[in-house]
Amino acid sequence: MENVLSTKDLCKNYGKHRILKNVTMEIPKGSIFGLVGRNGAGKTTLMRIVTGLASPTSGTYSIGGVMSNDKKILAVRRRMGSIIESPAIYKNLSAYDNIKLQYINLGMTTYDTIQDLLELVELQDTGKKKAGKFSLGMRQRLGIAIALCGNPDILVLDEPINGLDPQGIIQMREILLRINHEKHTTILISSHILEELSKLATHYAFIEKGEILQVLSSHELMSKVRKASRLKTTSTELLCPIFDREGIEYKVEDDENIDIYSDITASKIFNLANEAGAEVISINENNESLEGYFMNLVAKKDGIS
Amino acid sequence: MIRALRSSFYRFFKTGLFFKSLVFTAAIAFFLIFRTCTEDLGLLPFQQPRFINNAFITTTMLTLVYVVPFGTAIFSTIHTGSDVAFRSINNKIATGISRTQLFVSDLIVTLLATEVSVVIQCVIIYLYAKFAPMKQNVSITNHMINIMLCVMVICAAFCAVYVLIQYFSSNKLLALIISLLLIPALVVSSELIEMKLGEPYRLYQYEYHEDEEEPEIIGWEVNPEYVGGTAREVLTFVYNTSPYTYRFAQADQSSLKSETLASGIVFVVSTALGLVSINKKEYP
Repeated sequence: MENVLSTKDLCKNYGKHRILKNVTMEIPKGSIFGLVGRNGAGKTTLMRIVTGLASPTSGTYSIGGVMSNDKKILAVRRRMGSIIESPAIYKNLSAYDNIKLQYINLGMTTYDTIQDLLELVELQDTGKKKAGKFSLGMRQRLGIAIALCGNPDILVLDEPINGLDPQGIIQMREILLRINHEKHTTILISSHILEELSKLATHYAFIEKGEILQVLSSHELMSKVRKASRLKTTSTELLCPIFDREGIEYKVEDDENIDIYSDITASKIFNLANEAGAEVISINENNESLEGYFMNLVAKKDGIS
Repeated sequence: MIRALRSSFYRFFKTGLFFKSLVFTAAIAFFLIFRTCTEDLGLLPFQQPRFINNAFITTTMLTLVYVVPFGTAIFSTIHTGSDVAFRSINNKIATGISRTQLFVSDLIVTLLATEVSVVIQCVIIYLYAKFAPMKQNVSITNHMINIMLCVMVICAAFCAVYVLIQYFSSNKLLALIISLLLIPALVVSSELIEMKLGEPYRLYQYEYHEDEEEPEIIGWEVNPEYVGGTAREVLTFVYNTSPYTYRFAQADQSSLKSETLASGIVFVVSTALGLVSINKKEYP
């Protein structure tokens, strides 16, 4: 599959702090590439570098096959839209004027498609209202519209659903899926809300302390996500020593719930619970979430089993 | 470069800044006319029209260096400062507009707004003088044009410094405060330098006699406040290049030349610094 964006050994230092460590990844054309990482993991720095807002300390990246050290990279950037951290908009201008200004930044001379963009992000009725008076959700959608000016091949979105209410999140998801499906725009997106990201992403890169831990497709992730049986019991405390003795792999979620990863029958769980003097309230199949998978990856990196 | 300029000009007109600047410019021109009449002549404009002459025009034009930079400070904060504070500068960088182009385009718009303002104010001052009742002979002279050009270069230097400050600071208010304080700081420092340079080398000791009109000099000592050597040369250089000195107010040819040259250097150095900093700085 053709890659629209790739990085090779990207490093970024701020003083003595190394923010990115040899980041190498490839973003396939047409994908929604989810960047998953904790606060300070280096997601925003990576996005700032590929959008030209920051320069790498070492390493290279390429957009549409053009290397970052090539002068043509400035021209290629016109094919890229972005929102980094929060939408950069002129609060003293209307939605229409903000978009028109971005058209001018891109060197476009016809403005017929502005109305289409406003309709796409559902801001067509805002008229002359200044962007400073918009709600957070409206500003985020205006940011998306600005990022979409010039019909870019790739969108870089850093936390685009941050601070949005549930309806705003759904709206944003629908817009992004529509752009991806209808215009085949490649989207590089980061979000803290991993559950939401899992509804969008076709590919994932897990980043921790500036290092890429893993890059995989959503299909690969699905097959790797561990299946578990969620046991609800009256006492996890009594059960743990018995599970340890039997060599059963498990994780205590709270006082009542244990996730059991070992392949073990329900009747055996009942027998062990009887032996421990604990009651079984319920046993359900519990697939590990994206969040859980990420936390396990981080724990492995930190050497915590 | 054309993209960056078009973008900068679009915002200049769309935000209404252009018309606000025009109103501000006209208001300032009339304020300066009023000020020259009341402070320099001691009467209201309509009471002393016969003092309206070429000297009135040049005196009023020279006061532009006290007022126009304030307008430029506010303008650059609204125009360039907003770009940095709203982070919309990121949108431009992300579309492949180079940082150099960004800085230059903002500088050009600020320069243009400032210089147009200077010219309009000069024209208003001239027209007032030309058509005031009972005026003396008023005509455009080379000296007048030289003063206007010198004021334009001084204001250009302020433009470059202010755009530099705006790109340095992501905080619009802080940048505005620094920009506005720069002018009084220059005025005060110029006066201090003037005082320092005016200190005599010798302090004489006198003895007064009842039968003599003049006191007798009985000795002298070196004035500890006197600045000599390299420090004096530096202070003299700064004094000769400041637009806020008595020397500049006299507007003789040599002071106009040295002032124009100094402001030109400030403009070039500030622009160079701005270009270096914008290319190195990472904006949030």
